[in-house]
Amino acid sequence: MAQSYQAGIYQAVVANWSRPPSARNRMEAKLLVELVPTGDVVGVTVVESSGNAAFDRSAEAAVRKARRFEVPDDPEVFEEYFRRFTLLFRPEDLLR
Amino acid sequence: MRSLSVNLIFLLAQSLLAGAALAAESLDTIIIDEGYDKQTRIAVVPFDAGPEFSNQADMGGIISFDLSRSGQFAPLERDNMLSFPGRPEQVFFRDWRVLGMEYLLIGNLRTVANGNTRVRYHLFDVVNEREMLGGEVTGTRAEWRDMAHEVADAAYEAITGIPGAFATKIIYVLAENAGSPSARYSLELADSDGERSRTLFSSDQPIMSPGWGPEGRRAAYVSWETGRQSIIIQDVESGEREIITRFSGINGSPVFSPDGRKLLMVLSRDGNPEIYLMNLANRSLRQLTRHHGIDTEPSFSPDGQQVIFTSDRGGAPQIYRLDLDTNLVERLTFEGGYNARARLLPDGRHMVYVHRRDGRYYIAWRDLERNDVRILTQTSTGLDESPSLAPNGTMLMYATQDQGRGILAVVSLDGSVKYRLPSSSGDVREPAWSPYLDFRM
Amino acid sequence: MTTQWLRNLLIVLIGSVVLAGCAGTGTQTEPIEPSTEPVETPDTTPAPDGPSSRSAEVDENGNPYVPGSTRLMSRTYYFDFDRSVLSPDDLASLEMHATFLRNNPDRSVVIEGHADERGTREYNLALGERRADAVQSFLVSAGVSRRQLEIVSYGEERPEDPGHNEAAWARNRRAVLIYR
Repeated sequence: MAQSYQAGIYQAVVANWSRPPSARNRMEAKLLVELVPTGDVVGVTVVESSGNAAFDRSAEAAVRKARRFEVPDDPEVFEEYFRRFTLLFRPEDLLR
Repeated sequence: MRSLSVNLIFLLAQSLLAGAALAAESLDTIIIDEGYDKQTRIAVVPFDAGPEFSNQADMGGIISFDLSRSGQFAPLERDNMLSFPGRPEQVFFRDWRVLGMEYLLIGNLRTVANGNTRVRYHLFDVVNEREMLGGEVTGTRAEWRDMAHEVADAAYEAITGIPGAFATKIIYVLAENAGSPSARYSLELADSDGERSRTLFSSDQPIMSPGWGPEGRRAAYVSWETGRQSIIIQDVESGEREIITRFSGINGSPVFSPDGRKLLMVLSRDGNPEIYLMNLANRSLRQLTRHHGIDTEPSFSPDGQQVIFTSDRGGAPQIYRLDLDTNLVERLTFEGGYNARARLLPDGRHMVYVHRRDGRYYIAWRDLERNDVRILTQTSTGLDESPSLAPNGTMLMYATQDQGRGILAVVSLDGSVKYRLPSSSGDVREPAWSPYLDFRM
Repeated sequence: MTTQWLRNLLIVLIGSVVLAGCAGTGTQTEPIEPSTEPVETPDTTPAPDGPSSRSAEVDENGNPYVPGSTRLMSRTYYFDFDRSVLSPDDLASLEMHATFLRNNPDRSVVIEGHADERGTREYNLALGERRADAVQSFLVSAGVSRRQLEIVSYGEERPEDPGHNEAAWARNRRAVLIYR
């Protein structure tokens, strides 16, 4: 099921996302992630900047540090959901 | 891309997913709404320096210590480094990636005209494999630590998005044998890491409440050198001093306005401590409070439009805010029987102050919009006071006690790191962190 | 003399009751035994030869003796935590200073106010001033001219005891008379 793999991606990115002190709740950066069928990250692009370079870089680094995600073996599902997908980084858990 | 709406509700219901959610408007987007903040891993390679610098302090070490004392960085131990590049062409990202580094800082030193030293530095983003920043600073050997702090500031800002505050100064009061006939009180100036201290003024009478002018060139403080209290403004560089007030009673709490033209103060010339605002150009006074209680410890909001202060008008010391246009006063603190000496963060929305809990005094942090309160310091002596913020609002220096001696300590605003400043003798107290300085002193 | 002293005592006691936020009823001002210090104020009319008489009245620093004795008048008055109300035990002693100052209008005194180290420094400065104020108010109501009195608060900056415990704090919450 695609959503359980998406949950895996969520958890892998969260575990690698170390925010800079300039990050504030509800800042938003949107990143386009590209994978190959092994799940390896081959491309990370900031498509919508938060306006804070350190925040954008931390999001990009979170994906790159994850390096590889678990993806479904089914080629059709992979092509549909995981070849290219977007991640919206929008923290809600910061102190301010 | 196909809609995932059928599965969305199922997904949201799975609490084990710990907050994972898909954006309703774009179902192929995964929203990352939390992080696992860790100290940033950086390698500060010993700067490549020729033998002519062998008796100088280790510049990479100073930078590394700066970054680590911010609490936000975990610099790599040198023993674990696989190579020591001094120039960009010597950098192999793989060496640093296997060590788990996110950033790499290298530098090299050369002697240039007039015997000055030029420091070239390069900061790399190891994860994304690119150079983020390159620059140079130049100075005399006496400015060695200044150069190191300036490089640390540049790297800190490039990585965190917040200007660094390592190349700043502090002033504080050093008291030796306070209260005894041999008492000596001095106003000291030092780097923000406590190094290179020197005396700006010394007296056998107490010195109190030092603070900086917004340009970083003047200090205002309180002295009893004339047998009664006076407010003094001193030029930090030249040492030139001027007595600003010498009224009977209290002459206390001098605080410069953000534009440096006015000075808040507390005077009790009418028999009761009230807050005044002096125009420094013509020394005229505007009385801001008029109450039979104690009104004291004023400070400005960053925009200069408001003054926060301590008052016991409600029966116990609490923090209030006065609007300079409307003269309206609003109480800001309600928790506990003692909240005093507040300072606002540069964002104007948060404040730090002294808070009493169970008979002990700690430094507290408060979000004025949400009214969240956090205790930042919890020392065993419970005698924490005089919070002073770094100009970038990320660190706070305060005075506390250790083994019966007054010492200075620093805590990061996120509470992640605490450290003490070294002090050799006497009681040190009342630290005041300088603004950003665009010059060396 | 004695009536004057009693009148001052009542003024101060009523003042304290008001400060404590109670309705100032007569029952609050129960009779106080001033204990340690002699209540009797001996005749201290200055001798006609003026300043020379001071040699008998004061020590080499100009601090007054308890009349008729070789003991110096106590010049330090202690306060409770966060309070600025004079202890009834101190009033007799302060009355002796008042008498001395009335009889020696050329003498003046600085009243220092002090606080213990707990709490913030500037707030403690104000607290120290309140303590000095309490002494000044007593002396003025006892007939001393304001021109003879000056207040200087030192807050917590000049402790009598440099320790960091209850005993030290109790010694540091004080007002001190410094004769000039």
